[in-house]
Amino acid sequence: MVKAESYRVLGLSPGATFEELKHAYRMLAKEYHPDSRSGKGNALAFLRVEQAYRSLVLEVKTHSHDAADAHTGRYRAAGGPRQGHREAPEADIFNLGRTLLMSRDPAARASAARRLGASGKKSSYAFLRKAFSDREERVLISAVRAVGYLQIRQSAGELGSLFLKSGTPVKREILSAIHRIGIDFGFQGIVSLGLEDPDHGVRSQAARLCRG
Amino acid sequence: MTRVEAHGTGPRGTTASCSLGVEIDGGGFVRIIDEGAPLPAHESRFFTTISDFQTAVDVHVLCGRGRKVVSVGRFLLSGIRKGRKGMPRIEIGVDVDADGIIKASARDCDTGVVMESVFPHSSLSSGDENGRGTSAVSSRVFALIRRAREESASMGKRTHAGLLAEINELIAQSYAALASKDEQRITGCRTALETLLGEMHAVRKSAGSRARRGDRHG
Repeated sequence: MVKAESYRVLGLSPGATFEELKHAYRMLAKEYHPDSRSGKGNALAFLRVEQAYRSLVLEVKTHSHDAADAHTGRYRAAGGPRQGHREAPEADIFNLGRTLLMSRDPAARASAARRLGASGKKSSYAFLRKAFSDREERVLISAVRAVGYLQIRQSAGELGSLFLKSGTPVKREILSAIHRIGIDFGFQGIVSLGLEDPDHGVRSQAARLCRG
Repeated sequence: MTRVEAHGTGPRGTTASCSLGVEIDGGGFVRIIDEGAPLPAHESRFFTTISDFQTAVDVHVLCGRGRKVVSVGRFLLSGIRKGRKGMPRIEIGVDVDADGIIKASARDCDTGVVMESVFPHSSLSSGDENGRGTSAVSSRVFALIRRAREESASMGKRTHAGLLAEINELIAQSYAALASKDEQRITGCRTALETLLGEMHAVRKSAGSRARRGDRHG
């Protein structure tokens, strides 16, 4: 399978992190598994997801290595791989933030949000929170996912506001982010809204969060 | 959400560069802190719901400068007492400290649920220091660095290692930005410092509420 095709099958774009790849693979594999109870069981689609994942996993694992380092609290400025980097170190975040908020291309905005999420820098929230007013659903989803990866605890109020005005895919992404951050950090209000949501998927995801 | 009555006054200091308030039903702007109010300032007003059995209010914080009104941010208060429209009493507080960081909070007077959000000063799209050169922004950044140092000293070194490392790194970057006298870099560091201070505030608060969890759910 060609790389671009693999990304498409998994609903990702080039530059996706290993975490995102794993997440997309797991969700889709569950959905299409021939024994799945979702009613979408489809052996052929399942196989394609499997193939797509296998064709990308090695490459993505290596190129998101830097990002994984940042997650564990190691920083470039402290002698990381980019020691000789000329630009001011904070420039990465600022440039990504500018792309996220200014670019006209939704794919570029979504990718900037993903990379901010993989940066490990909580200060990225300055930009991600502004992206909550983006009109494109995929940008919203990427921004919410990034907030989850970065475990931003101050996001409860703003994610709640976004939850209220969003469609099902964004709502489910918000609940996934809460799962990562921890429901106890002020997110109970969103989860209780989720329990009363008209969509069954949102309700059951919220119920799982309540059970912990 | 609609307003019911006015309440509260704040202490004295430097002054607010714009008025702060919230958007109400129909798109109106209700001022909570006036332009030119002494800082630090804290004011609150009471609001209520606009539909029957509404359980959440979306609070849209606005900043007004002259006739121009811009969005600061929004947050949701969920879990308010179910009642007829106009019955719940929701207190919206706005707090601006001497460094210009805005803290907005909403509290349902009946159930006691609270939600608050901290917004960086730079979320006001046109900064008050514009045109006053880098020196005003620089002195703010120095003040924020001092605060970030003080506040990070009181945080658990092991549990928040990542956050503390990021703060230390950012402080070093802020000094480098100040030395470069590049206004854009300094402003960027200011926003980053404010965002991390907001995160530290949330971390400290959640540590407190976790400890009190037993009686809150009682």
